[in-house]
Amino acid sequence: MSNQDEPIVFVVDDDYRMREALSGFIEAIGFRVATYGSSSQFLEAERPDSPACLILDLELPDINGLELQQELADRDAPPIIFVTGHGDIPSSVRAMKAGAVEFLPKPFDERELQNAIEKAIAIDRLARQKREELGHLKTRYRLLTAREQEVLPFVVGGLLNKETAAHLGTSEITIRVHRGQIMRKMDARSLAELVRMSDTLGIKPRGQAGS
Amino acid sequence: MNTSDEQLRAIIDTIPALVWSARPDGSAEFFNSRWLEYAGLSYDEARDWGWTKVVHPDDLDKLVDDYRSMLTLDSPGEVEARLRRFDGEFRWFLIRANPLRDESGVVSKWYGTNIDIEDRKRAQETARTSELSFRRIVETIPALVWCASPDGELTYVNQRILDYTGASLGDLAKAGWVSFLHPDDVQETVAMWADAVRSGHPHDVQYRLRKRDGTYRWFHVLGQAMVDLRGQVTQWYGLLIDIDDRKNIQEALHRTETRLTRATQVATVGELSASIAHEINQPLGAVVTNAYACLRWLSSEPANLAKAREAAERIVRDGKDTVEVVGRIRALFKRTQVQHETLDLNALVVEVVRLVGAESSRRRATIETELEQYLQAVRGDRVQIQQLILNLLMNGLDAMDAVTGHPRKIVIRTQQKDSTMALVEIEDSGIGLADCEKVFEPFFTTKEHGMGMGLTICRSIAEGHNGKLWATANRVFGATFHFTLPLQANELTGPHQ
Repeated sequence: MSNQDEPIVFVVDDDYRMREALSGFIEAIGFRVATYGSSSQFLEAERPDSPACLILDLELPDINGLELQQELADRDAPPIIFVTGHGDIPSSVRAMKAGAVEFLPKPFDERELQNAIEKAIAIDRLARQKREELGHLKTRYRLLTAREQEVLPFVVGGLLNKETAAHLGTSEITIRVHRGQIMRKMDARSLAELVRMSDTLGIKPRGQAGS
Repeated sequence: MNTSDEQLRAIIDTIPALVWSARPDGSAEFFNSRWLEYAGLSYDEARDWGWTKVVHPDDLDKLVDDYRSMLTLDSPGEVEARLRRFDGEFRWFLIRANPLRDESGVVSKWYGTNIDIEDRKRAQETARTSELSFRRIVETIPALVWCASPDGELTYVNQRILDYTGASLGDLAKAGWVSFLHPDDVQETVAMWADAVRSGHPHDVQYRLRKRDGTYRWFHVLGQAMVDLRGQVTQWYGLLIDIDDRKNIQEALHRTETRLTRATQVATVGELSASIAHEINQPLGAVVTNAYACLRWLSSEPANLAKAREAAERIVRDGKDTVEVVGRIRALFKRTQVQHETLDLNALVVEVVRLVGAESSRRRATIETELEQYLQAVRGDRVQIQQLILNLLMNGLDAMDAVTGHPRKIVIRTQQKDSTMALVEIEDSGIGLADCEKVFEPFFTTKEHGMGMGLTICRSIAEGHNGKLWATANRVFGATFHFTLPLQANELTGPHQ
């Protein structure tokens, strides 16, 4: 496994005892670990681009756990496992609604902690895979000419070449050529696959009844 | 009459006494003119035994008896009797008689003088009555009265003291009274009495005195020195006042107050439970997590002993931390006798702020400290003063719960107010106070679940330490609570960041 793929667990806790203990445990269950004493340290740090999860203390001195969760929401940040010294139900509900993987009261059960870490990393792997896939798709999409990008919505909309040609005021044969180019450039083996790719890219199909 | 006779007569009539002479059988043959003028009798009326009619009937028998025995024994003598004046008033006289003997030693004549002792007699009488009535007062007033000599030895106690103790004056006199004190009170009482005797200052002490049935009652004892013109103590006078019932009520009150304080403590524990749980769970969580790590390292193939050992060492360290945290929290809430000791006020503030820390961040509030760097130590009860700081901080947090639109912030500062007092201020940015005095009244509360005793107890703690607690409104937001505590003279506590 390359270093890039080796998962890492980030820990943000203001208590050095907790950081050391978590660090030791995470290492013992076979993950890399990096610890931070505050939210701002975590935000400022340069973090490796690997599958990861974040173990986040709810009570932190500067930016607290819930605030950091909000801060990270739009940033492709790793999944969050919340830990807390007092089982505070309203906070846990908020955290879980905002997409936390797990909410663990201290002291934690080792199985629960390990499961949560593994689950969070699996989620992150999947998310990273999706992000990667989307990246590839975007690259391929950018290879299409302007005309081809214009044709694509009609193709995935299920229109025949003749119908598309009528919509765009061109010949059926031209559309057939475009369609071939689109399939080749997008690396799609079937129309179904092209439809799925367009969906991922957020391209709306056209030419159906009412559109 | 020749000249010397006239001179003698003039002298006899002028000297300030009633003069008379009598024959050996006692019958009178001469009275000076003062005598006759006093009695308002003529010589003929008074002569022989006529004078006896001016003697008070109650005194006549004794006078005659005494006079007869003088005559019989031929020896000089004196007797006191009341003699009627011309206007009918009886006055006391000291009547003295002396025999005149001829060459052969036979009594030929008696000479006598009557001296008016009415005023002296009356003064004596008054003194005797006042002495009697004084004694009657001393014996009847519902208090225990004592006297002591200038050197502090007990010389007199009234009957009530004898009745109370069941002892005799002999048992109590000098220093005997000490053995009737409660053993716990002996040392202080004796020392204070010695002080009073040495300085002459009023004696004021409370002690338990043993009753005849062996039980003890509390007395308030007051002693005052009587001083002569030269400033020398001539006598100590003192009172013992039975204050046992009052003392019992005071103690009952004190117990109630202690229980109330305790109840508030328990209420505070409830409010702080999240904070306390956090304080304990933090190191405990580390312990448990380290233990998992340790087991994992031991059970890996091959076992990583170095890593397991590191984890085990962290377990020991954090385990000790947990014990220390629990100890600190217990110390804050345990019920102990009030114990005054030298305290570092800054350290107490830091400790309480730390405990409240998690609670304040949960409530989205911050607590800042501004501590006087070189603050003299104060004297007080550790638990009570921590309780006082804790209550005021919790009160500040409560006052800020409803606040939006500006930061929820408490600043707690310590200051040396002057050469005798330290000042602590707790400034919040809460909803403020409508009435800075009313908040200290019992059962005054603006909180839904408050008992309204918190600030009342805070004030009683401050005043119990000879300090003060008061509140002021801030210029913009919130209120500031100030309290003072007496400094322990000449002791500095170390600098604080």
